[in-house]
Amino acid sequence: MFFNKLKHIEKKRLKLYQNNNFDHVLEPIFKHKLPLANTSLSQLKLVSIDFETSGLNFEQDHILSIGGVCLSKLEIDFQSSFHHYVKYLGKLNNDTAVINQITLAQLLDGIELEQAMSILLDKIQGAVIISHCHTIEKNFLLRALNLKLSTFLPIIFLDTMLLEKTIMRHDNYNLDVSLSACRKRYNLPPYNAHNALADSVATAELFLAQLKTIYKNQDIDLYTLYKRIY
Amino acid sequence: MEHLDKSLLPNIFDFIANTYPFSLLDQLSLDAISTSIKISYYSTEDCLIDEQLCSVGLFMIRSGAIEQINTDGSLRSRLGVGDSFGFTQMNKKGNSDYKVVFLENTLLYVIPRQVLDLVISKNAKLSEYFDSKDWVRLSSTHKYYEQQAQNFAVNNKTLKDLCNREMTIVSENDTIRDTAKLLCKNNSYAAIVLDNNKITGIVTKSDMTQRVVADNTDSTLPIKTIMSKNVVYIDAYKNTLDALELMFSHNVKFLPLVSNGELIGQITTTDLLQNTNLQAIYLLGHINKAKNVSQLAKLALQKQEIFTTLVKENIDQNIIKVVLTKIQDSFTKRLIELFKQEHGEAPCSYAFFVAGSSARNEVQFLSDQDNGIITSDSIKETDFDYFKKLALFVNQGLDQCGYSLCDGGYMASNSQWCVPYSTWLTYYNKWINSTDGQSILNIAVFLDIRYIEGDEFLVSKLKNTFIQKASANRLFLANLCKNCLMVRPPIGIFKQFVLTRDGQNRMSFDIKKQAINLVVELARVYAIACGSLATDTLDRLADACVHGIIDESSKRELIEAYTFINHVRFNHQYKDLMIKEKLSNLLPPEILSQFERNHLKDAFRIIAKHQDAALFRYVG
Repeated sequence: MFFNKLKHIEKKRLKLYQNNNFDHVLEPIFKHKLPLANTSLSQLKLVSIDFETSGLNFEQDHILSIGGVCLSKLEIDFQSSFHHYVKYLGKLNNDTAVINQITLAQLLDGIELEQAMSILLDKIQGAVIISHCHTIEKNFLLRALNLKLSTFLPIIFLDTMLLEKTIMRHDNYNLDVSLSACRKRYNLPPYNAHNALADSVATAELFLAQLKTIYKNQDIDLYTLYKRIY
Repeated sequence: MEHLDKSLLPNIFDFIANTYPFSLLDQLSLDAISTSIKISYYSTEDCLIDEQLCSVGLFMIRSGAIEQINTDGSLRSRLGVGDSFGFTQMNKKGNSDYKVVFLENTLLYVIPRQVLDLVISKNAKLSEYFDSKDWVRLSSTHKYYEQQAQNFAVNNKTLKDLCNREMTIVSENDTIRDTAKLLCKNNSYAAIVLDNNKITGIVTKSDMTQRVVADNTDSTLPIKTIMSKNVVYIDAYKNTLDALELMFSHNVKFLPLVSNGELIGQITTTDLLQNTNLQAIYLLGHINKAKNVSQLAKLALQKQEIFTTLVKENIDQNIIKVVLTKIQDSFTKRLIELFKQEHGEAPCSYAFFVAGSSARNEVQFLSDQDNGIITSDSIKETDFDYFKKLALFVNQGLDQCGYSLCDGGYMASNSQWCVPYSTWLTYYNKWINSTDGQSILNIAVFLDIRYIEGDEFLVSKLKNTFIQKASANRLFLANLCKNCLMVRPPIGIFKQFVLTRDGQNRMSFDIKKQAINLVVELARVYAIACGSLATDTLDRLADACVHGIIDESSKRELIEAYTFINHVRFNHQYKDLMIKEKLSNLLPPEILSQFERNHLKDAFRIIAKHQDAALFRYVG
């Protein structure tokens, strides 16, 4: 059979956890067993997350806000959504502020980065993550926790951007895979707001649309989808 | 949800707050609803029934379209963006009264029953609305007509709907002779060879001739020895255009249809030809691929041939209008897309809409263009430049494609008609509250609007708001009605024609202004009076009938009159095109046949009768 990457991640997590060989800031993540590869998606706890950042450079840029929303039974549950601005006292590039529609006042009013990360880890523990281009969330998360980018994270990311590429690769290589372009292809309404919460909801909707397109009504398992993406 | 800032999700909060009847609610109730919704997505394969509908809550359509089908299979209603369903099933258990099928991929917001119950208990108005209306109303959105056009042009209709499920299937080891016998018996063009449910080959009748008879092959050999092994097949959810392209590129006349890896049917070029108007499909397909305006302008030349073919083949004139509308829509959408490719996505959310006849799905060969742009209120001053350029590009592009610029300047490139939502709302308020009949006449074109591109919600929100206000304003209705009675059908024209046979004082009548428009305008008065969101004339008459404004027989005679007049108009345009005359809406009575004259007289009488009735009802 295929080498099951999900089992491998779980094995590694368990080993590190039992040997107490992990950074304790990651405790909420490490203490949960990963979902079994054959768990159907409708049974999974899924959380769609998004960060707004001051730029794309993990080393220099900052998280300006975090947002997310949970899905249960493949339905986006609005009641579970969360959003926080992250306090930032440094200088902010003008362009960034415009693009993100975040004002300096909101950032001054935000919560501490440390607190934001602890809220986030709490929200995503035991869950599978959905994000559009997960490298951003993953790397900014690691940086915010003062961890090396190579740190092992026992988190499963279902990346809607990578998933979109698996759908489109036969037709068009140069396809625009930005969140808004992808949504348009599925007849999803445009979101005029650019903030972490709106984008996390937008990503979750895209995820549902992609699933319907690829798998129709089948309730597939986690591994089937994971294999397709990676 | 923790006390969340509404501005973070303007599209969700705004959508609910501006969708009737939630627009009646106070802020607190709106917040309660907005923060409790669940979002789900359905494809055309899905269906909601029984426990998926009962005791769940209220389903609001954010994008897409659905149909409610009664248990006896009849259509309950067709709903689009901004419509809701599920209320009557909220307190039921077990079997639902209807099922919901999805006409296109659909994003639903679901308001849970508990939350809705709570809000309703505090808002008596809301509950009245739901109970009385029962949400049975015919659709208002553009989707319906698009659907009809597709049924005809079958452009986006999937092959699954068209395919032939009677197939000749053999196994690899069946003999050549048995296969040949089966082909003859079923009168099939080709046999599909299956092994373990997998398509392994295809044998056509001509293969039998070439590979068996001509090569003198032993016909007791298994079929796998002569079958074509690299089978070109197609996914059942592709459309006819995809199938045609595949057939042309592989030079085959036959395609097996596969769904989820399983063979479900077959399609041949003949099936496609019988079910489709190829030329219209080709045109639509090529419009979407055109790379610049000059390519589009070249394609536009095909419009005339499509029109004449449709008239010649005696296609229902309502379908002709829908096909012509669909073609105009495609040009418009493509132009917007071309603009975006060069100038990037819009800086803020917006909607491009069409007005007048194209909004009513009543485009005909002479139609010009009427359109406008609604931008989000959050637009920045510097962003208007983008939309000005877009509008100019689209308006000029359409002009080059044969949709001449609007004389009245009702086009997006006119800065007056490219403004934020709230400005549009101010316009409509002014028009609706104006006591001056003339001003209504000037903007009548904007009483019919239909979404084309961008955020559909901006259009449906605007439409919902102004129709609601207009239908409640008696003075506005009276003025609208007076305007529509300024022109009367030329009942006496044929008599006069007989009298002036000597050629002096020759009369002609304008079939558009003196006949067609009269029905269109009557239907508009009826529709606005009953708060119908429908834009096209036949739907408006149907809605008016449902709301008791006209009775069933009035509806029928108006539809017949309207259909007949359009039929005459198209036939004469067709004849003009054939003899390369310049097209005109002016018909000299002498060119009409006796049959046409008799029926036109009837049609005119019907229109006049209903004009009088409307006058009595709305003007008094």
